[in-house]
Amino acid sequence: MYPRTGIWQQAKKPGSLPIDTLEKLNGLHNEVSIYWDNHYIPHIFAQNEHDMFFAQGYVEASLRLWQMEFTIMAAAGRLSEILGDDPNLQDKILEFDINQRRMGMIYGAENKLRAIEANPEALALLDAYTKGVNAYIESLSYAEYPIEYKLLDYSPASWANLNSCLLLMAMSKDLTDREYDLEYTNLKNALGEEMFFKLYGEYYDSMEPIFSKSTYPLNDSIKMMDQPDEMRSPSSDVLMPQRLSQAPDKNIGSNNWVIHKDKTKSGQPLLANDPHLSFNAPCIWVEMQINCPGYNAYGVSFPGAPGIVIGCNDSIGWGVTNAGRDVKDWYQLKISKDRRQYYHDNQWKNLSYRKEVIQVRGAEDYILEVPYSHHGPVVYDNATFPSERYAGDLALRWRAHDPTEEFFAFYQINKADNWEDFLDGLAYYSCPAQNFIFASLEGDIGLRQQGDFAILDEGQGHFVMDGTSSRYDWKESIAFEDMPTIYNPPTQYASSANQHAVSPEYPFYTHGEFEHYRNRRLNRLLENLHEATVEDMVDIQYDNYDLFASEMLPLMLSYLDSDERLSSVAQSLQSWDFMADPAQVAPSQFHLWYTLYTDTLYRDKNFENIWVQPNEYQTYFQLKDSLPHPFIRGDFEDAQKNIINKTFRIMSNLQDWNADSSKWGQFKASKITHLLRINGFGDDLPSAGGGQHILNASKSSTGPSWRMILDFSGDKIKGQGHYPGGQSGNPGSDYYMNFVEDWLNQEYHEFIIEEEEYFLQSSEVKKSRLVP
Amino acid sequence: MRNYKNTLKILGIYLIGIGLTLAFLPWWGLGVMAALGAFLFIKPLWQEIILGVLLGAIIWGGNAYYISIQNNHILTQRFIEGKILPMNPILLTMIFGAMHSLLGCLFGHYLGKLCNHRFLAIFFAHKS
Repeated sequence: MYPRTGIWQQAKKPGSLPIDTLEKLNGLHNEVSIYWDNHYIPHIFAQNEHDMFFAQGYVEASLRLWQMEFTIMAAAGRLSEILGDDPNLQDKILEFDINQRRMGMIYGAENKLRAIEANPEALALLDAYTKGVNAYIESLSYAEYPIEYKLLDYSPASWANLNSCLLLMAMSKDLTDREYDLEYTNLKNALGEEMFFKLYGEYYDSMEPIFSKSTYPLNDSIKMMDQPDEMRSPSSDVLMPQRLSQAPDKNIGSNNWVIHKDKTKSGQPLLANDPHLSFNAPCIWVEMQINCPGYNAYGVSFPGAPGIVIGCNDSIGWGVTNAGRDVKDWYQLKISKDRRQYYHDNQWKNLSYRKEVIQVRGAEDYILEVPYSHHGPVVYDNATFPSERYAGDLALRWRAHDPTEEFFAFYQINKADNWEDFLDGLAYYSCPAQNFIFASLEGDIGLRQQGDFAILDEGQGHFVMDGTSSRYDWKESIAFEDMPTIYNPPTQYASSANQHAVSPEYPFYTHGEFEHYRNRRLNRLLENLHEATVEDMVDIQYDNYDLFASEMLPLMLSYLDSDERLSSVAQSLQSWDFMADPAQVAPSQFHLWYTLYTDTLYRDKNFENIWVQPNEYQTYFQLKDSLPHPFIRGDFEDAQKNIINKTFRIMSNLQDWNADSSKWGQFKASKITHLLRINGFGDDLPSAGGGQHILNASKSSTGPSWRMILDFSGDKIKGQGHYPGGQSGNPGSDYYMNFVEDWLNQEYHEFIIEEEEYFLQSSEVKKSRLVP
Repeated sequence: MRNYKNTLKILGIYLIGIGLTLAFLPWWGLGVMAALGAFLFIKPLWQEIILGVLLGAIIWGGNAYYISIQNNHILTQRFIEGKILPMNPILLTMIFGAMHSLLGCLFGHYLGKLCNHRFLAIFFAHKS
């Protein structure tokens, strides 16, 4: 509490800059100017790329140092170092750290770093960024430490290149963790294959894949693998273990689309993107411009990594959505009794062991030896974790472990002038797979799914596989030229919203977890647009139409008894226009009813420990098409009617539907949560509409983490955007949540994408300098 | 009158000392100054307690309050809304300052008594 060095030092004067002019900075070649606009967005002007990335590291650290370090410590399984002495948390934190180590998070980051080190250009940019972060850390006195360091009583450590790779691993985990191979294996064994696929079907008639058949490579032009006749999976008497960490929300995702010049009012393309990620404080993004001769990029960056991830440059703009395809597979191993070897292709091969030392604050180190096979880490190691119910050993093959250079991909994209350059940059991008949207000032538009996908046989990787034979191993990847791509399509628009990328006609097997509603709503809105404007893009990003409810609710209502249909709640639902606006009550009624319905429909004590709730569309088709249900015995219609009526009555009486708390905005209670779950450092978002399966995908803890609209009319790109947070990571700064009101009220700030002369003449910017 | 002037002089020197201590020493500087003051100017214990509490509360609390005003109370408000601390952070800072200073005073007071450190007391008594 000491005012001169304690937490009060983070109570900054409004408008004060995070950094002043700093002289004699080691590692800088030339002077760098940083102009802060009135949104606290830094515009970095350097004389060369080295200094530009140095300054980006310096500036990001000045805004978000604690967030950067905390994120990579979580990724690396090192939280016990700072939270291990909290008696309420220490067991959970240690378990979390152990799980991260078992998943090979550091191993994957080291592989990525090795790939970067083999590319001098990529290494140079990462080195420069790291030097910049460290220059900032070295400049700090205790009084200047971000407040979280003081509350948790520890100090920032030096930044290393590995940390940026860990950040990429953290993003890969977030975006590729929605695979259910273990759970699906148990369910397939328990339900039988036929019933399993009835419940968890992948393709339905109403699906609209991102890429149409005309864009697929021809079967005879591609090289297919020599595939096994069947994909062997463990016998039915073996129960797979529970996943190490809670499964991420099945419905997090993103929207992006681009409209061709012939369909816009200006006669030039429009591009929009809103990635749906966690509502965190500090926000996952930081906005900036980075500029040096030959390089001028504007947009958002991940604090902790160089380059601009989503944004634009002088010629092109780009955005991303998650591909959702499964790039994690599990192999059941046969390991020797002495735990030194595993059986593969009729021979015993050596396991290597990786020693993981977890430092625990205030206690002895926890040491873990993780075995590695050629697939990857043996995450479920029966000898080390015998208490886990699984009696075998499971190795993980995960694309994120591979040596890849995603930073270099963004570096190339940041500098791209056209579609060809853009594709050249994407060639370096592997994981997590994304749908990259593109538009250029030349008037071209495009969309491409980019990632490194193994060529799989039908069904391969859907369930746990036999790890004793190379027949089931990942071998070659789908060739770059065979990846689904759209370029200047005849539809005059391209879009993606986490749906299936391709239909079953695509010559390669794909599977994963996909969305079914946002994309269809998006396509209908885009189809009906003529002379599209930026305002139309805003309307789409804030569209609250609940397509899922519009299909499911009438079906559920049709099962209601006639006397129930006369109730006020039923009347409210029947008159609902399916707009999930914050002041409406009907969305709260519907979603509560649906939750109660599925909780009852899918409850069976024999399946309690292995159940995975089917998706909303799977549930919808089950009800609509009266598909067989494993837990319904007797007449399907009667059973469904019984559940629907019973849960309707419960829902009607569970809540005072006249109270303000029943209004959708308050009911779903969107909120921004601080990474340490400190209440006052977050913010409530009670006026946020939208929700799950809605284009405005603001749910309770995830949603549009960045909204961007690019307009390619005129001689340079105009952009606007906002995110639910603020530029500063300091809760004592007036820029900590400075975009939240804009985000709630559909107000975007315009991007100032200018050359340095503009800022020199502007009276609205403040300047910092970094001097060698 | 001479007593009054002398007290002011001592107080002035003491406050400058505190200012310098706060500028150059870490958080425990206030405790050291409080202890030193109590050690040098042995007064009745109740006076020491009042002086110690007020000194700490005003110096730490006042400083925190000034910073909070400059900050438009943004951080204070976050602490209050989130119930991060058991009470208003400015008040808590005052209490910490007061406790800290009080402990310093008590330490100095009893140390002075223990040492029977008369020469300084005599010195100041003669001067007055």
